[in-house]
Amino acid sequence: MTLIMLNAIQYPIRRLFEGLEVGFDGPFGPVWNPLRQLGTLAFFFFWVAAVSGIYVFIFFDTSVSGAYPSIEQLTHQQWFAGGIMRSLHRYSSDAMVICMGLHGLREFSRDRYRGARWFTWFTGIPLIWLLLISGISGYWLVWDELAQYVAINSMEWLDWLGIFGHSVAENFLTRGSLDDRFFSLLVFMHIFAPLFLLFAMWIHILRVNRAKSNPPRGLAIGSFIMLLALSIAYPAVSHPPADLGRVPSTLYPDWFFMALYPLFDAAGAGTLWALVMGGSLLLCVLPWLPPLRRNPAPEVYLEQCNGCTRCFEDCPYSAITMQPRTDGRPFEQEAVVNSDLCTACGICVGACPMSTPFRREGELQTGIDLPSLSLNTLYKKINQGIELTKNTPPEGQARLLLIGCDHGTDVNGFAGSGVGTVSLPCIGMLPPSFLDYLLSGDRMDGVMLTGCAQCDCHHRLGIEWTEQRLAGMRDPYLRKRVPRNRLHVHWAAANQGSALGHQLKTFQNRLQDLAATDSREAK
Amino acid sequence: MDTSANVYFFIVPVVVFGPLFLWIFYTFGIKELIKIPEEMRRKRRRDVQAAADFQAERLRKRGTEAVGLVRGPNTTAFGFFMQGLTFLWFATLIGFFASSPPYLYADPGAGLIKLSLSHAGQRRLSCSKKSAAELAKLEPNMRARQSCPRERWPVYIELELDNHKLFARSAKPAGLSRDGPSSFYQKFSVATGKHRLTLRLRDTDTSGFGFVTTRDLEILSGQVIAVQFNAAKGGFRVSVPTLNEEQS
Repeated sequence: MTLIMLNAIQYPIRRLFEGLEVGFDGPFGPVWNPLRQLGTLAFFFFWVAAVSGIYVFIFFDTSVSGAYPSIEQLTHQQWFAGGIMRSLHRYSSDAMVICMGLHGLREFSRDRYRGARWFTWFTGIPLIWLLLISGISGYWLVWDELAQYVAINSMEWLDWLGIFGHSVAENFLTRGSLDDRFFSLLVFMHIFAPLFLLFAMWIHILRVNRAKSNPPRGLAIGSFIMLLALSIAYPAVSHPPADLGRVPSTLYPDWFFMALYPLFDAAGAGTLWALVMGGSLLLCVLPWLPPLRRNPAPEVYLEQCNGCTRCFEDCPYSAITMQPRTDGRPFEQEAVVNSDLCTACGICVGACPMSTPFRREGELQTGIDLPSLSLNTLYKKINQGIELTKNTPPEGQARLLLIGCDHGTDVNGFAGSGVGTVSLPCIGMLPPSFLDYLLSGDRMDGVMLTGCAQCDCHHRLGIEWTEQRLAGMRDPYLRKRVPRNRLHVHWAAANQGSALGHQLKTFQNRLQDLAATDSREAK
Repeated sequence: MDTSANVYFFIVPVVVFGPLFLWIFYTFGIKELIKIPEEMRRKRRRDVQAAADFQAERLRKRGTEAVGLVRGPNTTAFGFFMQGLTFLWFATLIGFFASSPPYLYADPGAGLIKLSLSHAGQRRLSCSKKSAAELAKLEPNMRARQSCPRERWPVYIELELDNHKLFARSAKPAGLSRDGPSSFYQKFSVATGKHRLTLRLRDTDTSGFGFVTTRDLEILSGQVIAVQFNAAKGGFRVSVPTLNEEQS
C-alpha cells in the first residue's frame, strides 16, 4: 500500500523531469544538460558564493553602526566590483537553493534514495538546514530593515525552544540594545555555517565512487555568465537601514531563503517548529518508507575469481573490496561484496573477464554473479532471442537483438519482426564478449544497445563503462574482430520509446543494405 | 570601530582555527565513520586518470568510432541561442524571487508594544537556622549554619491598554530547581493614537502587585514601544523611541 502511494507520488514528478530533460537535451546536448547536472551545479554555485563572499567580507565593517554604510558604499561607490560581487553572492546562493531542491526532488522521483543510497540521501538533509542558515545569517549582516525583520523573527523562533535562559530576541528590543559583540556573533555564524555546509557536502558525496562535483566547463561558463549578467542588470540592493524603534512595514524578501517567515508570522513559532522538524524527520526516514526491496547482492565464486580487481574498479557504489585470498589458490586477492552497499546492478558481472559465453564446461560460470539474473540465465535469454528472431522476420529482413536496461525505454515492446530483446538491470552488466558471441559467429545480423539517457545512467556508470569497453579503452574490451558496423548504440530515456523505435528501424534497414552489399560482393 | 582591525580580527581566527577545528572534528569524530580504505583512494586516483585518458582518446578518435550515438554538447549557433534563452529564463526566475513579490509585514496604521523582561520572583521560603542537632548529623564540610531553599515564586504580569487587559500571564522560574528568573516576551500590535498603558507585576504569593506603572502614550505608526523591567531601578521601564519623520 505504501509502495503504491509512493509510486503515485513519484510517477508524475518523474515524468515531468523526463519530459524536461529530453527537451533540454536538444539545446544543450546531454553533456551540458543542466537538469542532469543539478548536484554539480549546486557545488559550482557554492564556490561562486564563497569567492564573492570573501571579496565582500574584505570591505565589510563588522560593527552594528558600520555594517550598513559599508555595504552601501560597496554597492554604490564600488558597483563595478563590490556591487557585482555582492549580487553574485546573493544570486549564486539563490541558484544553489534551486539546484539543491530540484536535485533532491529528482533523485526522489527516480527512487534513487533508498537501499544502498540511503547514506547519500540522509546526509543530504543537513545540507538543506545548513544552506538556509548560511543564507539567512548572511541577510542579517546587511543590517537593513529586512535584516531586522529576519533577525528578530529568527531569534523569536529560537526563543520558543526555551533553551537560552532568557530571551535572545531581547538583544533587538530597543535602539542601542544590539551591541557590536552580539553582531560579531552573527558574523561568525555566517562564516562558520558555510564552512560546515562545505564539510557536509563533502560527507554527502564521500561514499559515492567517482563522485562528480564540478559541472562540465561549458555549462559552468554559461551559468557564470548568467549570474554575472543578472548581477549587472539587476544588482542586489539593501532596504532602508534597520531601526529597532520602528517596525518595517513593506519588505522585499528573498523568497528562496525566507519563504517560511510569513508562516511564522501567521501561525507562530510552535507551528513552524512542528513543520520543519516534522518535515526534516520525514525526509530522514524516507529511505525506509518503505525500505527498498533489493535483489540479492552478487556472489563471488572463488574457483573462477583470480582477483583481477576489474569488478572492484567498476562498481559504482564501492560495494566491492579486494581482500587477501582465503581459498589457498595462488592469487593475492579476492573480491568481497558488501551487500549493504550493493544495488545488484550487475556491472561487476559485465566487468569480470570470466563472464564469457565462449569458455564453457557445463553450466556457464563466472567469477562474480547475480543470483537474480545469473550469467547462465543471461546466456539462455540471449539464445532464446536468437531462436525467436529466426522465425519472425519477413523475407530478407535483418535479424537483430535489442539489449536494454530496466530503467530506460522498455525494450520488450520492440520484440518481434526480426527483433529479439533482452533487458538487464543495467547495460553495464553486458560483458563485451557476448557481442562477440552474437556478431562474430553470425548468430545475429546486428545488435543494438540501449539503456538510460546519455549522462543519466540509473546506476551512474553503466553507460560510461559500456562506451569505454566498446571503444577498447576499458577492460574487458570488445575484441577488434567484432564488426562495428553491425553494432549500434542509442541511449534513450524511458520516455523516448518512439525515438528508439525510429533508430531501430533505421539500423535494421542499414543492416539489410549491408547484407545486400555483402551478397553482391560475394557474387 | 576600526574597519581594518575588524577584518583581521575575523580573518585570523577563521584562517587559523577554522581548518584546525575541522581537522579535529574530522580526526576524532568523523574519520572512523567515513573511513575510506587506502586501496579505494588509489582506485579513485586511477579512475580520474583513466577518465582523463578516455576523454583525450575520444577527442582524438572523434568521428571514427564505429559504435554509438554519443552526443556531445550542442555548440551550434542555434544551440547557443536556445541555451541563452534558457539561462535568461533561469536568471529571471532568480532575479524575481530574490526580492519579489513584496511582503506586507506590519499594518502601516499600527504601532507595536513589545514586552520583554526577565525577573526572578521572591524565594518561596526564607532562610532558617539549623539546630545543633541538625548540624551534628551532617558531614563536617556540609555544616552550613543556615538552610536557604532556592525555589522562587512564579512571576505574574498584567498589561492593560485603555483599561482593556491585553496580557495576563504567570511564568514559572527557570531551572530544574525553579530558582531562576521568570521570562516574558510578547508583542502587541496597537492602533496609532493616544493610549493609557498600565503594567503590573507580582513576584510573591501575596494578592497585590509589587510593581505598578501607568503611562500615557501617543503611539505613532510603526513605532516600537519597548517594555522592560528592572527591580533595582524601580520596576518597569517603557521606552518610546522618537521617529524622525513624525516626531521631533
